[in-house]
Amino acid sequence: MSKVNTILQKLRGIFQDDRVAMYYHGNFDDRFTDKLISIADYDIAKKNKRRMAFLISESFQNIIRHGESDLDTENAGLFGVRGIDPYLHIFSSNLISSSAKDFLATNIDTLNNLNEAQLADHYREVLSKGKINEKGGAGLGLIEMAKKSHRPLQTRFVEKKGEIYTFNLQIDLIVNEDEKVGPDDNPVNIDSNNEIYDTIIDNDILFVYKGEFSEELIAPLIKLLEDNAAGESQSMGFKIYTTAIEMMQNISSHASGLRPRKDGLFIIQYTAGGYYLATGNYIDGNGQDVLKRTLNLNSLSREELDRKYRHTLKQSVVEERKNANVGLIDIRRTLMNDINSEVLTLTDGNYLMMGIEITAEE
Amino acid sequence: MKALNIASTNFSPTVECLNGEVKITGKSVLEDAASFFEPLHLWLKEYIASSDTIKVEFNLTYFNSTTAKQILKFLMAIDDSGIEADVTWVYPADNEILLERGQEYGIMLDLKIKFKPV
Repeated sequence: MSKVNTILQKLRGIFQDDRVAMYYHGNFDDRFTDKLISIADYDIAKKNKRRMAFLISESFQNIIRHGESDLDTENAGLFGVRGIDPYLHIFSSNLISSSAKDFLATNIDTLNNLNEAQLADHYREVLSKGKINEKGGAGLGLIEMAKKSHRPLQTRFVEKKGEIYTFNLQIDLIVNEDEKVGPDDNPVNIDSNNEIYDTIIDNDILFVYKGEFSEELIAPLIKLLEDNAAGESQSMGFKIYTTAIEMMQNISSHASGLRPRKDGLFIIQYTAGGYYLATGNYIDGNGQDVLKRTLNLNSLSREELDRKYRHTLKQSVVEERKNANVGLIDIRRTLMNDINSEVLTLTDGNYLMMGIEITAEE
Repeated sequence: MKALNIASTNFSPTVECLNGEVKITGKSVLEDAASFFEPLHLWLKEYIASSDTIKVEFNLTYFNSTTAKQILKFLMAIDDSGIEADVTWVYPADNEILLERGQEYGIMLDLKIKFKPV
């Protein structure tokens, strides 16, 4: 099994019970917030959407506000959202200085020991005193997080080197209040997020999405990738965008129809030569047809692929087929790297993993 | 002949059909491109029945494989009709992939396509 497929398999296991999960590891700016919110708010009770949007936005701001991006450019912030009923977990992680650590640790500890009325009083007090820390925040964001989530904020500080710490913060929000929350329905422990954090950092992963691949959910994902690709060279950005769309739409069209949702996993990983894009999803059947097809495509030259593309596309019009069926051919001939495919036989079905590297042109 | 105008969205192009001129502009990442382009195919069928010439301009910055099929379906209908066609493929000058995608339609069809970098 390839290294990427090992990662896919690990993430599949971690996110098995997640309705939706999304992690972004990279440079942060406000352009992403709206798209992250539109992906996360799918299927959430209307009245909670505003609260969730606020918390995502505030958590995102927290990375920008307290982050020390100049400390280590290779280790930009990490932001994640996990929907595991009845909770939505909002996770952020970024490098901070020891003075920011002291400020955050003291503040959060205080907040976690206050009840709702005390939180409201504390909020008014901080607001009137206007105590601004060196990063321009008065801690009001943290108080708002505690107030709106109605749960203690989960944190972990991990010393990296010298005076630098990784600050992991998790907000737990009940998004569907109609669901009964039993005494055993505890939110996921932040340590579970730390495992995801390690997997993402150790494997240089830029983006992870697990969830439904319906058109309305792919749309904000595409927009997110488009914005991210804008920072790349024209050719690389175009290839990432093209490949991501075809791969995601491939899940949408071919994911198992026997399950209630067209779920799948999509990751983008940095490689020495560029990026690796991979997908995983349950399929109907044993997947041997896909494996055979990708092996065949991998054996063809660029000219042969072009001929196959034109023939297949033309046949799809002449024979009025529902699908164009040229997505994989197009990916392979655009990138001219092998499409890796593998089927896992699991107790709950067959799981197809596919991936391809996008390398910069010489 | 009635004009056809479809406004663009984040995921679909602008389609303008007026006085024998068709312009398709923007990007198309639609999963269900067939439904989106259906009004264009219907418009063309009706137009071809009563006209001798058509001018077409594609100016797409990106299109996915489901859209590629709809473009071919559209151009094939023009090609098969024998109507006199003036087809221009506008592409970003620094995007060779989009130029090649346009050239492919020229290989697949008898239509002569003009290429215009911008």
